[in-house]
Amino acid sequence: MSFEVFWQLPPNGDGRSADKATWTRGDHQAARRPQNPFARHGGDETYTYFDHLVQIVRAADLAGYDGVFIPQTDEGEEPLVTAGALARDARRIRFAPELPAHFLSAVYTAKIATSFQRLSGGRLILNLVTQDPAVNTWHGYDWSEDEQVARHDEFLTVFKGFWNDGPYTFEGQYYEVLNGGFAGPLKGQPQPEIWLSGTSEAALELNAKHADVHVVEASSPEAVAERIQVLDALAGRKLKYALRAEPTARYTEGEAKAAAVHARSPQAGDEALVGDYEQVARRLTQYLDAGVSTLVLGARPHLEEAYRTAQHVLPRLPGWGVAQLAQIAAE
Amino acid sequence: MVQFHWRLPTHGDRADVALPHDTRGDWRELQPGNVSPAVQAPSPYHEHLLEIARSAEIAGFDGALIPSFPHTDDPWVVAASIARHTKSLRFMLAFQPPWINPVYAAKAAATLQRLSNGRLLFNIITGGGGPGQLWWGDRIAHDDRYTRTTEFLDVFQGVWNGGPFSYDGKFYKVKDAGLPHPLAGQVRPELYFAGSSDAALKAQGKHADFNLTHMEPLEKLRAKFDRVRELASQDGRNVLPAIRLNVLARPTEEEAWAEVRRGWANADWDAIEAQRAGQRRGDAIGSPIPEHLRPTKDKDPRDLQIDGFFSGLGILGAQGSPLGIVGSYETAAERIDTLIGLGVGGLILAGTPHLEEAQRVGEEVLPLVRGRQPLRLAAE
Repeated sequence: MSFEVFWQLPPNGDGRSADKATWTRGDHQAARRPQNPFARHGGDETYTYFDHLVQIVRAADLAGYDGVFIPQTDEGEEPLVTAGALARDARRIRFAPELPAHFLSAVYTAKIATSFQRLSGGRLILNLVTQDPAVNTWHGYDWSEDEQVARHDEFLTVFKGFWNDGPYTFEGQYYEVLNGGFAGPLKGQPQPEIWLSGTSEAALELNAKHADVHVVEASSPEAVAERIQVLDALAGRKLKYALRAEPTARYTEGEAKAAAVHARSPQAGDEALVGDYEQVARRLTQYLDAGVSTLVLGARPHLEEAYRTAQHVLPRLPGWGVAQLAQIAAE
Repeated sequence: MVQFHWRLPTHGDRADVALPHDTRGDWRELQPGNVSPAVQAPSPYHEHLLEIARSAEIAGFDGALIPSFPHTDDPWVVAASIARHTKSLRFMLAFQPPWINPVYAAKAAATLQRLSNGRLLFNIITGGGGPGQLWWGDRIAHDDRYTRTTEFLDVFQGVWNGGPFSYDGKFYKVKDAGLPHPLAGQVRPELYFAGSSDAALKAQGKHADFNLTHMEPLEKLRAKFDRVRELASQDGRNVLPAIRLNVLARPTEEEAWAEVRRGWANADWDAIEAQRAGQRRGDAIGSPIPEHLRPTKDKDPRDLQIDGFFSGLGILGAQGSPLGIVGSYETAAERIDTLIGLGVGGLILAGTPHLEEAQRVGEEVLPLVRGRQPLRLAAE
């Protein structure tokens, strides 16, 4: 079984518990809690929260992950700029920053993405999200989910056409392009893989039309299997599926349950992902068996848990590490 | 102001103290659990060492020791690489003087100071003698070794700010030497000097800034620190005591001891006994842990404490003295304050795994140490 594992970055601060008021990493919670005067990842002019994010990205790179997922958060850093800042600090892994495409020009996003591909050796994933309508209002728009999805549809049509089919002309409801397309060194970069998510009918239709990878939250392997069946049927082709999950894994189930009380996000989903290393690995394997091919995992504190997961959980997944060993043997 | 250093595990590391063997780095046979981190091209274990250095730096440590053992990567090379990818972290290079000519060592050190903006320190090791010393190709009488170390440092300091410097010693002869511009006149690296014998303590008085010792029972430390001060003052200098020790701190006492018990249950006791037998060779003085505090499989770990320090950390993969700190964050900070109260001016702390524990000790323990000054005042 071949699968990939991504780790999640915390763009809005981090700590040892899920309670933001206790977070000591980053200055996003500074107003709520005085910073540790000894640590250097606050608002210091020399050290910023990005130095800590670099640590997590390097942990993912070194511990054998295939990529990092950077979510949208209200108070957190902008994911695409964050990815650009971090790309040079990791040599292998791919970057999946969540983008609210309905706020962005399709052409300009293609421009940014091409530059990212050039600087990173083709490691960008175009990971579009549909935002909470309240966030849209905050940005000065009043768009329903259906309208966001309709904009995404045109956005992706233009993005792909501009990238691959220049000179490219398009006239739609939201976007218009005349004789677009890259020239010179920007032309011919690998087009980023497209990741989409969503649960509404409109969102699933958008996924069916445009997604290379559909991102699904960890509810249960059965529910994910059903989603896969529905979406593949709707698309008339086989999509790839990425699972977002927050495992809480320890040596014993008791320790995991105790840790989950304070460390696990309230919206973390599948409770069966709290357990000893073997139990969590078995549960993740059930998702892989259901048809998931990318695990997007995250847990607090993100630096330490990246290592714990890579050293205790991932080696218990069938096939993990074997490919790397074979590669080392071949060198 | 007390210096707080962390340690870079150039000898390998393990994912946690419950494991009976190392799982990080390529010193063991590769298998799925230790392919990562960082032993596959293009990311050798060195990349992981750099990540530990950065965590130590960000979590608030002043510097990091880069140890030197026969099977570790060389500290000069590791230091040079880490220097370019850290901002404020000082790096303490463990070094046995005779391996490099002192004028050339001064030149290399000056280059490190130039590229790192003066962040170099040395941990000067004179060596334990016996088969261990012969591995390095060094056959020399115990007391002569300190004469050689002293001469080495005489020459090193003599040429540091430029010449002409001439020296006619038993081991080193130099004529009209001196670092040329622009190498001359860099910040002089502070010297942590390891050694416990009278010969060692006399030798360090002339050049050392710190006497570095592994953790021992407090009574022994007090006596040693008195001798350090007495012998250094004969040279009209002030040498501060410094301590290396391992720390296992958790939010509560119970959590910390639970980690110890798990490591105890998983330990490879046969291998530990075999290693102990090997360590009894050599002519270094030391082995300061009383027999009744030596860990064995059947002893309750909590019985192995003296002055509130635990003597069984060697069982959990700790390198260096087996005597160190186990307990809550508050306990750990109190023990560190106890050492500062004895006059300690420098601490080299370590914990397994070194990346995660650098974060933990820096974030949770050091802020509770009363004898420590903050890097800067908390935001007004």
